[in-house]
Amino acid sequence: MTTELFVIEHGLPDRVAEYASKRRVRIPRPLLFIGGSAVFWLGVWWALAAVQVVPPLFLPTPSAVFARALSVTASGYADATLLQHAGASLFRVLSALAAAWVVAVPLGIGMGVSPAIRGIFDPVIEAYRPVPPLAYLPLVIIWFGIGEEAKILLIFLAIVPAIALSTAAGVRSVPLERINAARTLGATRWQVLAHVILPNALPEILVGTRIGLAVGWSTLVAAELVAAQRGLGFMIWTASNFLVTDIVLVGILSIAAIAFVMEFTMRWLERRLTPWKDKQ
Amino acid sequence: MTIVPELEARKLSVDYGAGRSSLAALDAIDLAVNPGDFVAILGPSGSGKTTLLNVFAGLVPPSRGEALFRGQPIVAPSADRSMVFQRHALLPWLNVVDNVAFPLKLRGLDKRRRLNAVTPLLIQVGLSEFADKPVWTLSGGMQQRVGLARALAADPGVLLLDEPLGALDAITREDLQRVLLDLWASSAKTAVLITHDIEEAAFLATHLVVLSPRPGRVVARFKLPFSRRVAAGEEPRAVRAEPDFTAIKAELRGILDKYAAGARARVEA
Repeated sequence: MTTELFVIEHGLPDRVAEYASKRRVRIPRPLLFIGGSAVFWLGVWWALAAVQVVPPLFLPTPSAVFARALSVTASGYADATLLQHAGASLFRVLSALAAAWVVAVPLGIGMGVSPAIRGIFDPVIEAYRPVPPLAYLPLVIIWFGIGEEAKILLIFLAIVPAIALSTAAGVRSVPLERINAARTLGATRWQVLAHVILPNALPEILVGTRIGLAVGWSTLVAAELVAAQRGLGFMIWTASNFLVTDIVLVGILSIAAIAFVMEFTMRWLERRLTPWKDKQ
Repeated sequence: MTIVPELEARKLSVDYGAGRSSLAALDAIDLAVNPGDFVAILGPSGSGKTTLLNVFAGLVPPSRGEALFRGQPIVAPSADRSMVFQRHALLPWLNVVDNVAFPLKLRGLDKRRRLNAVTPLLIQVGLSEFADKPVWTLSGGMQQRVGLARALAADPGVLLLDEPLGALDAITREDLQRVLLDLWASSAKTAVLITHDIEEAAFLATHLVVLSPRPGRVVARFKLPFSRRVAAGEEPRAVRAEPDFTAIKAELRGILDKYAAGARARVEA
């Protein structure tokens, strides 16, 4: 979507033509909104900090936070630079996502195809899905300790339901005509699964992945509460203990920025891989 | 020597559900489809005509009686009897060629042999310029051409057509009736077409069967000359305008109207 005026080549009054030619610069409308929103809220933040409604200790100015972000990037905080913290967090979320894919996609296909498999797993998934990961974090620690595996496991557990349930929904949404047509063209059961059901479920699998990534990323801070040496969540908690508000803000904004990039990458992937979605 | 029918139904009945809530969809259908026939099955909605086609495809088992393909009972779907649906049957993530070549991929043919095999079909249905287009970007009429070509690529004995032109506008529909007729005539295949469009049935069929409302029974059979004559080179528009053609249409209309009036009477009672 772009913002542009239609241009009539001849017979336009000069001032209209001039106006039309000025508006030829194309700025995608979503970017315009996002940019406008960012400028507006930065302004609000800066104004609040400048008049010192709250002391700078609690609300530093945007420029102070920016300066802090640069220094954390260059020289680090809590024994690691900003990139190292972000890298540790990303590694946890992405390994959890990879593990969740390996488990949840086949599980979701099974749940979509077989009522028996659905009967066994659906109640369990539906029961624990709404429980906040912070609530079962202690159990994960008791069972699996405080190492890296436990952190990844916690994020994994948060991601699995999102991917499994949307995969199952995607499998069940295959039009019966599509399956029956393939069968009358000579497809075996496995061929129907591989060539019809799986590709048909891809849009929902991608949606599940996008939701799972968001859930996993928000579980991250909880996972990094306990015995982490690195990570954005760990950085935020450490800084908060010492009332270093600007680092807390740097951490929060970094998490938001990464989540934003992941969300848009996933949406781009969805458009790229499944342009036929909703257009059948 | 007697001809073995391509498809045969003997006292074929199908009930949906079991026990007291069971619903009779088809009742004691007797029908033989000989090699090269184009059989149209015409009936009001709810006459079980789709059920009959599904039994021939092997997608629905008979409750009583028999359904045979070349003398053997039909137990499962097979590429010998490929089916074309009204919609949603193509694979939207593939382009036109890959959709048409899909049955050959299922048989394990490599890409080059698949392309060689389907190229003449694409030309015949007028899709060669659209070969690399994703199917979801095509119009409804173009998509149905892909569906027809794909079913023929499976090289079936019988084409099963489940209202393939039902969702198209009148002009596209006439175009595709012509395409369908050409494909049938040039491939010498047997075809069974389900439709509720009287003109379409009369124009395409060599044999026409009318089913009653549920449970479906055969209430009339016609042998028609029009499709063979068009296939032999006569002008479709002239054939459609003939008194014979108009008379058959009126007769079929009369049969279907009787059932529609019956349905109205039941609703009002």
